[in-house]
Amino acid sequence: MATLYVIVEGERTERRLYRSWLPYLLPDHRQVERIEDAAANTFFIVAGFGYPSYKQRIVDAIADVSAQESPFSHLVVAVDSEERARVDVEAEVQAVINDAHCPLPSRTLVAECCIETWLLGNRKVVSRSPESAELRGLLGLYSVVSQDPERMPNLDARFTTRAQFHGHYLRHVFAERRIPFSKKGPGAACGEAYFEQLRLRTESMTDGRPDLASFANLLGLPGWIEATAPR
Amino acid sequence: MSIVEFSFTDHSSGWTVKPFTLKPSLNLLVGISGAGKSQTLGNLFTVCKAALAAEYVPGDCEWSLKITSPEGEYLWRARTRAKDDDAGVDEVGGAPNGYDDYEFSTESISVNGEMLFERTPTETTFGGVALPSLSRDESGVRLFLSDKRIRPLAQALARVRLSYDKPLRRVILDDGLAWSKIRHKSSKSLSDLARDVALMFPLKAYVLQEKFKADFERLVLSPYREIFPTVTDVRVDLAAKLFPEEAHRRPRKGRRIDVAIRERGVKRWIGSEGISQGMERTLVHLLELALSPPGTVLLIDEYESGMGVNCLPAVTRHLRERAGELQFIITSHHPYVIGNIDKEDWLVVQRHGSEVSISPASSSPSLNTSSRQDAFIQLLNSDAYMEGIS
Repeated sequence: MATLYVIVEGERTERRLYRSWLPYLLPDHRQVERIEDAAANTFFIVAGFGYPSYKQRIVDAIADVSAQESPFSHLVVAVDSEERARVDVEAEVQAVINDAHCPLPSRTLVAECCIETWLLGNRKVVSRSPESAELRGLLGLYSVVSQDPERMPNLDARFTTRAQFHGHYLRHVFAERRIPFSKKGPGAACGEAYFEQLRLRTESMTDGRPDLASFANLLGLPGWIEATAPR
Repeated sequence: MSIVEFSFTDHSSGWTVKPFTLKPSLNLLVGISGAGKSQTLGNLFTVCKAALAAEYVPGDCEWSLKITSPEGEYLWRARTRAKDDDAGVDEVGGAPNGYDDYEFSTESISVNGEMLFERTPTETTFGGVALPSLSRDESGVRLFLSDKRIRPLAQALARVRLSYDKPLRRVILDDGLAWSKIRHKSSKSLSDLARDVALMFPLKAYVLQEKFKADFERLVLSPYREIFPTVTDVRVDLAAKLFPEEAHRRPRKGRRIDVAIRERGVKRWIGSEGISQGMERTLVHLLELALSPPGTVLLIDEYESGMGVNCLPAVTRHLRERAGELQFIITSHHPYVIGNIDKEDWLVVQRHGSEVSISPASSSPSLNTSSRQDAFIQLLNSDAYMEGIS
């Protein structure tokens, strides 16, 4: 039984995905629109609107959860590593949490490299013999079916960041299947079947190491809540 | 006076603004780009203009406008239609945008629930008495402008002003400056000048500067210098006087008036076209606030446009100080503006197809919260804002 205050880094995609995905992980939990409606088995999500804006959202969230009679039991911060090392991002977020004296157990989930990277982990959605020459080219450069998407570098000089390249790759994956996808409407990616495919992917290995290792941290959320729940 | 409620439909396009209520002080329209904020302001201004201008009838539209004034609560409803081709429409030299191709089809004006004026496609009555056929090119407000029961409505509508809609640099009559001073020869105070809503804005600013010097200093010059410390002076005058090199470049008719600033380290006056948009907008807002009489409704689209953090807080403070005395209907996307205007004053604009809905933030559950998260962030996180277009 938990009451989560969740901060997600992005604008729209993460907020929509997390509000769909969290009930798959915590089946008896539902989203509330206001902190006033928070109670046992609920979660409240705030979109952080990017880096560094989300750091202020964390500070304000800690002010919310520190208020008298706050029902919140856990603070969760979900961000992207983008071009940085996950440990560095995690340390930066943790420093903000520590400086603001968070009274609750907190967990930082850092996606390697961004949430689109995780979405590339669904093997079923990636066409093996695409009609699109662009997607054929991308699969030729790096097959996200046989190799871990989280370890995919930026392989296209047109993009200045890995996150841009991963987003481009994902758009072509969805376009091939004619699945609508936008930052505003991640559509099918919100569904339980899609989430289940990502969960399955964490059981696969590339070069002896598990795939979607950072996504596996999200899957560990129920265990962490159980272990840190107030007795 | 203040606008209480407004609704609008353009039957030719299907564009509809559903009825929404406004507060008498400050109304901040918030919504994602494309939700319909600016168009709603435009519709409201067009309707107010259609009340008073001759041959200015928006085509195939329908609206309802409720206002309060000391004389009571007025409800003006109208529906327009295309003129009958046989009616002999003059196709040459008419009003712009085809506004003279339309006429009032049905219309009603009531005060405190009592019907004053009503016209159907075939009949017209005033105070319950049938009238002979009247021009449908003009609204009932304009037709009965001199009637003491209609006049307060006309006066109220004349005080609806679209901010920043015309440049400060304008062409005036040759003797415009002298004439405007004579017009206000007997004005005893700034409020006498402010009430003159018919006087062109730059000329009004000129009279303020010339006749009410202390008010000009207190309300315009001093706050402007406080916002822009490098500015040493502000002057309203003939362009030819401010910029001697322009003396030989007079317009074909009349003369140009301009509002110029003087900056430390700059040898000459800088006209309104030469200063930054933020400096110009700040100047316009200060002048508007100084020259708007109580009861003015100021419509400000993209309030923050061009204004940086050095001027936005101060201008917003000046504006809030007059809220209530004036009614403000503002659109903005800026975190500072949104964060510094009480959530109680927000109206969230959403659009479904061609239908615009405007509702107070308090009716959106996620905005009715005491969370410490920044108000702007709360807005961005609300479904009412994020799902603003569908």
